[in-house]
Amino acid sequence: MQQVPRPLLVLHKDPALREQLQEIALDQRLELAFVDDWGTLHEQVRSAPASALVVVDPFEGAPARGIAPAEVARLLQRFPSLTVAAAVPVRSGSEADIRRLGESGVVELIDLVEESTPVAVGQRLQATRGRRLRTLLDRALPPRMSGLARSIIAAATEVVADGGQGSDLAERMNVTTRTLSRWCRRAALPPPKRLLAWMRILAAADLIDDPGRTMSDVAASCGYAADTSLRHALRAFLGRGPRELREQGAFAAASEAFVQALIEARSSDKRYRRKVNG
Amino acid sequence: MNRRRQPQRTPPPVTSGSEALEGDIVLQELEGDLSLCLWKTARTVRLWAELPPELQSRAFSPPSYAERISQIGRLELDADLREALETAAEVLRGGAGRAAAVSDACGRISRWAEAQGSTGTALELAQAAALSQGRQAALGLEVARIAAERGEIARAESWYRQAIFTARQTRDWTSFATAFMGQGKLHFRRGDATAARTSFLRALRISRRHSLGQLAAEACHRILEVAILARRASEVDRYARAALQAYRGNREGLIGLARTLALYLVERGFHAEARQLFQLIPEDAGKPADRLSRVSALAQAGAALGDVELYGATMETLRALLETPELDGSTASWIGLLRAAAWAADSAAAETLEPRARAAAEQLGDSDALEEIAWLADPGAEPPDLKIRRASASLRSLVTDLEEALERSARPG
Repeated sequence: MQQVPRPLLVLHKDPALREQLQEIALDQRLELAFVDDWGTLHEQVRSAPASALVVVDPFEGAPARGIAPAEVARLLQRFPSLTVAAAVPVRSGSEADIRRLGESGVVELIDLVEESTPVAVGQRLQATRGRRLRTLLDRALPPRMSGLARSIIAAATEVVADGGQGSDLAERMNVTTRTLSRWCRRAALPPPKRLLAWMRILAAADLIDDPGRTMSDVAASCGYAADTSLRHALRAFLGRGPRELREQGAFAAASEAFVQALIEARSSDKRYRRKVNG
Repeated sequence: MNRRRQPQRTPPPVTSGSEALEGDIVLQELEGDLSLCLWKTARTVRLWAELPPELQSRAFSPPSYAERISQIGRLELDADLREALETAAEVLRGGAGRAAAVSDACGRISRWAEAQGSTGTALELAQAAALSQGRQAALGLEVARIAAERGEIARAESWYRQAIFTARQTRDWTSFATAFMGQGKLHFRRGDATAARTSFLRALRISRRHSLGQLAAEACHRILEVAILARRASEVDRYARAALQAYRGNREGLIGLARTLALYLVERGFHAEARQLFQLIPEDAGKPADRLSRVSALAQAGAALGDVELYGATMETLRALLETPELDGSTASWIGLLRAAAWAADSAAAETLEPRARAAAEQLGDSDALEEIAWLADPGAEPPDLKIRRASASLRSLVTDLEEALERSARPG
């Protein structure tokens, strides 16, 4: 498992926010870069790893406040897998803007009126980690999946976004690896290491669906040493290469295979079977 | 042998659904500045609650509090909601030593939202309340209850587990038993009779150990329902008696028990005993769906026993019930009514009921039920087999005892 690069690209003119982001970048070891306009941001995003986090003022360059944040929607149309947080002052009449931002794919909102400290902004940025994969999985996983399984999967998406391993997942959940393995078994999930490998595959599949991403970028952003390692993993887990997956819809194929793997893991676990059959 | 006590752990509860932005649902359910204020409240309390205590006082800057209070001041609200919003806003000035007050305020806002029918908002605020007072199992139970009612099963399940964990630690036995009961209901809803029975048995054991009479009664009642679903005849008698004994003078509980038992009797073909029980259940007891199940079972009993008067009276009641807006009866109730109409050769009733039954079955995608409905509604088809059986002596004595208990509970004083 390779270290996942963590660039933070900022298109925002608010001096206080910029100062706070500098402090947070130092604290969370993020590679901070400020940009001045949407054109430059598109360029930067294109050359940055897919694991980049972007903080924008959705109304930057707009003629007036209160209009639809079209530039954010355009950015996310071009790079659908990008993690974008919007920083705006939320005041009376902002409801429609917030909802539009959510609909366009923004995963987090920083309220510049109330959340104007490094602690609050840092917490909001932290919450974006793995959010996109978690939301996609929430929609793709069967509704009958247990709460226990969903809790573990939610934590696993965050760990994968940080480039963590099985022991990091146990640490994140504040238990020993043995307890975590027991929980995974009880939730009919694969063992922690295998679960994280699946999460990486799913994260990679989401990025493969994004036409603006190269394979080496996807590999680096998901913690693979090289694109050959990613190709090998895709073949091992999904039986297909990236080109084939991209044509078929990589995330849909990967999530379907993951659900199938869960069903198989559940029926082959003797301990689980004994418990269910009483 | 000394057994070292290991600390118990549980995974964190599920705190979000598939919404795009945290708290999005609040803005979808409500409108205007009030929705914005509630959205901000839920988000800031949650952010504050999820921070380590040493960072909480540095989470927000002092002007934010003044800004929020002035925003609340501009809203037209009733005094209690205003006070609750102002208390919850205290997290913006550090909230030191105010976790209990903030949590209580969020709970009040949640109840207000639920009363307005905004269950998503109620869930967000109940969750904020539970997160800011992590050691209160009852708050977790509230989140689980609202999530279950909204059909967010995974979130509900994870909060019930959290409540079990906290209640065990804090020795809050009422919440402990209630959480197992809630967990059992979720399993039952999913059709997992084995897991449901295990949870209800845990709830029963805890309630008996800690003398929680009404919870024990409810647990027995739920185990009875599982036994009916799993066709465990011996347990039906055992747990029906246990529930009857534990409910004592709880009339509402006894009516529910009578309904459960009577539906079982109808299903088994013990129509005479079912009629006896159903006639004791007041016509207007329960929700419209409960009233429909009563009418359905009585119509079957009337048609099966050739009791023309009972069948006619039941159909009269049904006509009034069908006027109820958004009557969402179960497929089983509609099929029961169609079966009764087929036995009574009442083709006019079958014609009226068929579209309702079909709609209920289609909503669930229940193809077996759709097939049965088509057959029952077909005027040229043979009517379904009519089995009239006589209940065992033990079951008959149970019905009599329940009848007496219901009569006693109806007496004033």
